[in-house]
Amino acid sequence: MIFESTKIFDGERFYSGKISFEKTFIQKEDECVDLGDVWILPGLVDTHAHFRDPGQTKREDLFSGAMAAFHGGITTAFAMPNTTPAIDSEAMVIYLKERAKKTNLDLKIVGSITKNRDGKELSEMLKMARAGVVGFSDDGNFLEDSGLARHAMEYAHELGLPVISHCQDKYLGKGHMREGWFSALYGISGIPDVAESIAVAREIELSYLTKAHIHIAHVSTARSINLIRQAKKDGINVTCDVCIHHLVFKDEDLRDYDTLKKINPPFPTAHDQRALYEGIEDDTIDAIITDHAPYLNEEKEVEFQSAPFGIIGFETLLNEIIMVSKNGLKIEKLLKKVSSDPARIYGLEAGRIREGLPANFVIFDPEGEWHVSKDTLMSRSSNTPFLGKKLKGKVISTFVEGKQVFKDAEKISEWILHFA
Amino acid sequence: MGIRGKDLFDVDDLEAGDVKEIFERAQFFKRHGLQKWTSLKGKSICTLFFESSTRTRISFELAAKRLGADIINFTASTSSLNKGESFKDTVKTLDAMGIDLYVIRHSEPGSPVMMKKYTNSPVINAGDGVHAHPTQALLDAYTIWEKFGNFNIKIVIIGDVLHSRVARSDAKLLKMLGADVTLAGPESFVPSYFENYGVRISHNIEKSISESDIVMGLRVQLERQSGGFFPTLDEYNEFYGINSKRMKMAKNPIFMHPGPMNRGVEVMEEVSDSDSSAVEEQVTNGVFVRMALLDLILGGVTN
Repeated sequence: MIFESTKIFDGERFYSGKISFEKTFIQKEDECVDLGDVWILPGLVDTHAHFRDPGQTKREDLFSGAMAAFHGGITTAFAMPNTTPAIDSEAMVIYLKERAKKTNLDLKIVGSITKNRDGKELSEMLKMARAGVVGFSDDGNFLEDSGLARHAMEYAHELGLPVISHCQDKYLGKGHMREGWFSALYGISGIPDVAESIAVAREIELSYLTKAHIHIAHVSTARSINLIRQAKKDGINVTCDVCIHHLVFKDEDLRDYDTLKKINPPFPTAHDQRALYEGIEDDTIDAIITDHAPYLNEEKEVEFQSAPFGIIGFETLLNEIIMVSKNGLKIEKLLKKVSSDPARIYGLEAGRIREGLPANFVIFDPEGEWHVSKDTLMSRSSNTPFLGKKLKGKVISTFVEGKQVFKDAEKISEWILHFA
Repeated sequence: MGIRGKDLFDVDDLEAGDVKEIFERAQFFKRHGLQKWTSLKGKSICTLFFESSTRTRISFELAAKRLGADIINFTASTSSLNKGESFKDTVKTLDAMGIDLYVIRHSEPGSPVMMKKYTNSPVINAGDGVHAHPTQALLDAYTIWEKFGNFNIKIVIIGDVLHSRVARSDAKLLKMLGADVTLAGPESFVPSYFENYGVRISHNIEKSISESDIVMGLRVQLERQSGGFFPTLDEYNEFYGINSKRMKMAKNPIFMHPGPMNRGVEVMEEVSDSDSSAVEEQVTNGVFVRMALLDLILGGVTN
């Protein structure tokens, strides 16, 4: 099978050419389908997602989550451990890896740092590493006990795996949006920016002490960016990512009290958002993630301060990247942050189009459109602020190891003959 | 123009002309004292109180009754919310019975806005969390207008501004009408970003009082002590309380308070019960201002 396009993104830049694959690996040419200037992207890499499986499968499970990922052009995704029970044992890791095989998704598992993610005793990190976790995280719970965090990092360092940290001071972090003028105006209790940067500073210092790779998840403030930028200059083994929604929305956008826009960390101020853009520009920020967090309508359709934090993100990732690219960031830069860059920091063979690599790729029409609705979303949940909106850019087809795992019903008909 | 059929989520839903119309209508009602009207005969008004309140609910109830409307009171403690019925279902259920206007009080900010997803009838916000309390702001402004005849005045609002929906709505409305507004109290209660309301921020209450025509106190809740917002009520009273010694630093200042007052905490009786206190007038005016609002929104014909 061969595809030709004037816009093939290899993980770093666009080029014009052809890709071909037979069975599972990308190869030289054969019979050719000309896609014109429709893009061919490597299968995207999302290193922060919540699949709700096991234990919360009314919201999502590995199968609906995988379909949603494919619909968004994502072929490699990290499953965070805030499941029920938490992913805190070797058995859980093995169970999920086995289950993931049936989905075609390249699922990577993040194990918890502490048992039940409750910050009291370390999980069996060595055993989970043996079962193949890609990192450790207590996910939504910042590990308050710095002594325990230190030892977790020592083990992580020994294993050559990162600790992924949701940085938020528990005591300052009580609130429902970013504190500032708009939290005052809307009367919503605020979380100050330093609730994040105080925790970021702790993690940087522990990384200095232990030499462990610390990865700061979904950075959202200027002060955090400054700390990470300086730490990188100082040679600290720190990386970080930003959630795509934080590049699109600001604190100000909560004026309608829409619980579908409620997320933690909360949407940034305009000042903080500018710092996030700069962080991407100068590579202080290594990756863009979705923090895909499905919730039921029943859970979200309540009063603002009673609603849970979280937004789904797989299926609108590329649409949002197109939006962000209109605000001054180069599209190549943004695409790199959801493909080869996250693959690089976690040492994954993914996120690139290159001869000999698995044939994981996405056909994406940047001029296409799709209407976000409960019917068109593949996710079991529909908690996205884009619900009911028409978005620019459309994934037409997604391939994993040469197998077509998603196809857009209308658009593909022009090419479908070639697949049979 | 005008406010007929409109919602009132906060004071910025109103234009200066709307405020003038409300004041004139309130004044008209006040001149007729306790007279009963029939302008809203046949209209059903529902007060939805998800958070307890005495004066605001009774004030709305009296206002509606004096205009001849049928009024239904829903309070969370006697409702099916205790049985686990959601906010959404409660509103949808009431709406299915046919209500012409809702008055809502809720501890959650934004709940009046959220309510509009489930009803087409006008909604008046009677206080949503710490966000807004537009009818209190209107009655405060009306009281000032009656006393001074204009808004060429200086007012200082002292106390727990951070947790006050009254301070927020008052600041917006009084600024819109041209008053000079200062928000004062300890830094924990008056963060610097409140300056964006176009008001002054002060942590020196004696200086602020000395420059003011009106001193408004805000309720300080004991529960804030455990959050560390202040060490003790006694210390708060000594350093930020409104007493006669401090009131004397200004020239014949008026004292106002949205109630309920914590006597001996944010204000001493020597001030709240003195001749300079407008607290009872605020309550009296509250009924007339709410009559004016209901009458104008539901399109009663009183003149």
